[in-house]
Amino acid sequence: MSGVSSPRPRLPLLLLVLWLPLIGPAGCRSDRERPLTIYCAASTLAVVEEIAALSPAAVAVHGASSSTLARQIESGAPADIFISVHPGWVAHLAERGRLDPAEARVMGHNSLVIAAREDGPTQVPTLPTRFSTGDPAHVPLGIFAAQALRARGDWESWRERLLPAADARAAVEYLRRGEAEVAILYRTDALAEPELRILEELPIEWHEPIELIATPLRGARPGAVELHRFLGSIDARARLGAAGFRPGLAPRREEP
Amino acid sequence: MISLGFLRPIEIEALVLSATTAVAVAALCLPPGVAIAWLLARRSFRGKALLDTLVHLPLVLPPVVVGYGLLALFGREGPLGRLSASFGYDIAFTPAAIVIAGATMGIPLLIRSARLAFESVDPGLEEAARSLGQGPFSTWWRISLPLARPGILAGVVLCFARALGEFGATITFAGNIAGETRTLPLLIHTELQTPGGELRLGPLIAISVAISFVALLLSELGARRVRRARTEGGAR
Repeated sequence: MSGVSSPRPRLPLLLLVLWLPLIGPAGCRSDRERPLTIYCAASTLAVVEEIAALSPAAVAVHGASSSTLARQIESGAPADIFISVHPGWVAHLAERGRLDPAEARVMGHNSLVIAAREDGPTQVPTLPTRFSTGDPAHVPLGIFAAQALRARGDWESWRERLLPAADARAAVEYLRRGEAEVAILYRTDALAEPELRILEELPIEWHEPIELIATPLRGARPGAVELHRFLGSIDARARLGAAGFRPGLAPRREEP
Repeated sequence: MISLGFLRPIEIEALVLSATTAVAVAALCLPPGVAIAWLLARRSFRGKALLDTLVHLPLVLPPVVVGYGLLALFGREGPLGRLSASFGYDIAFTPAAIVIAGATMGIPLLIRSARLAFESVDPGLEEAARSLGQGPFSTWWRISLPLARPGILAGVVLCFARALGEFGATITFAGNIAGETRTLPLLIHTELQTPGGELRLGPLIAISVAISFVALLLSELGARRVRRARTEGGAR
C-alpha cells in the first residue's frame, strides 16, 4: 500500500493552481487602461467632478481628506493631479519629491461663513450653546476658522463650546442634525445646502487665503499637463464661480 | 521601559481614556451579555432568530452606520438624547458616548463566546442538579455558570479589546475632542492627519499591538479550556 501514492492531495493543489490566476483580474488594473486621475480634497469633490466631466479627456476623480490623499500619493498611488486647500500637504509632497510647487495653480479662493439651520438663530449669538467647525488641530477648515474667530475677537470665549468635526462635511452634518447651534463653514458648502442660512460672511482678511491649489504630480501620464491647464480654463472658472468660489486671481505660473 | 516616561502627556491621556472606557464597556456588557448568551444557548422562544440577528448586526454593519444610528438615538434631537437633556445631561460627544459605542460594537463578541460556552455544558449535569433538588436558578448559578466561565471570560476579553480598538462608531458618535473623547485609535488617526505626524506614531502603535496581542492570547487560552471541557464531556 505504501508504494501507491494517495490521489487525494492532488485536488487541493489543482484548486490552488486554478485559483491563483483569479487574483490578478479580480482587482488589478494596468496603467494603460486607467483614465487620468485627479485626487481632490473632499470639500471640492462636487465642483471638481463637474469640471472633470467637461474636460475632453477621460478623467477619474477621487475625493478624500487632503491628509488621506497625500498619504496615498506618498505611498505611490496612481494620481496625476492633486487638488487641496492645505498648503502644508502640498509642501509635504514637495519635500518627498512627488510634485514641484512651482507648478501649483490656484484654481480659486474660498471664504468662510457663520451658518445656522433655517429654524435656528437669525443672527450670530454672542456665545453659542455649541458651535462646530473643522478640528483646528488638523482640519484645514478648522485652522482657517480659528484664525477668523481670533480676528473677530471670539476665539477665547467660543473655543470651550467647540464641537470639532473630522472634516468640512462633518461640520455641515453636525449643524444639519442640530448638534451645533451655529457652524463656521466654507461658503461653498453653506451655499450648497438649502436647509442652511448664512448669518455672517467672514472677511477674507481674517484668515490665510483659502486657495484651491491644483498641482500635477511627478510621473503623471501624458495628458496631465493639458488637464492641469484645463482646470484654469474659462469653463472651469465658470463652474467654480457657480459653486461659490472666487476665481483664481493670481496664477502662480505664467501661462505657456 | 516599564515607565510611561517615553509617552507625551496627550498620549498618556488618550491611553488612560481608552483603558478606562474599555473596562467600563466590559463591565457594562457582562450581565446582559451573559443573560442573552444563555437564552440563545438553552431556551427556545418566539423571536429567537430575530434576537440572534440583532445581536450580530453590529459585527457586520459598517461601524460608521452604527455610529450614525447611535447619534440619531442619543443626539440632541434623538428620542433618548432629548430625555437625557431634560435631566441636564448630554450623551453624544462625551466619554459616555465612547462607552456606548464600544459596548454596541463589543457585546456581540461576548455573546458569541459565552453562548458557545453555555452550549458546551453537559445538559446531564444540569439535569442531575435539578434531580437532586436544586432550583433552576441555583442550578444555573452553581453548575452552568461555573462550567461556562472560561468561555465567558474569553468573551469579556474580546469585548474589552474590541472597545479599545473601536474607531468608526466612536468618531461618529463621540467625536474626536482633545482631552474629552480622543481615545488611542483617534489619536493615531489625528496624527496621520497632520503632516509629519507619522513620525510620532511609533510608541502608540507599539502599545496598540501589545494590548491587542495580550487580549487575544488571554481569549485564546479561555477558548481552549472550553474546548477541552467539551471534549471531556463528549468522552464521558
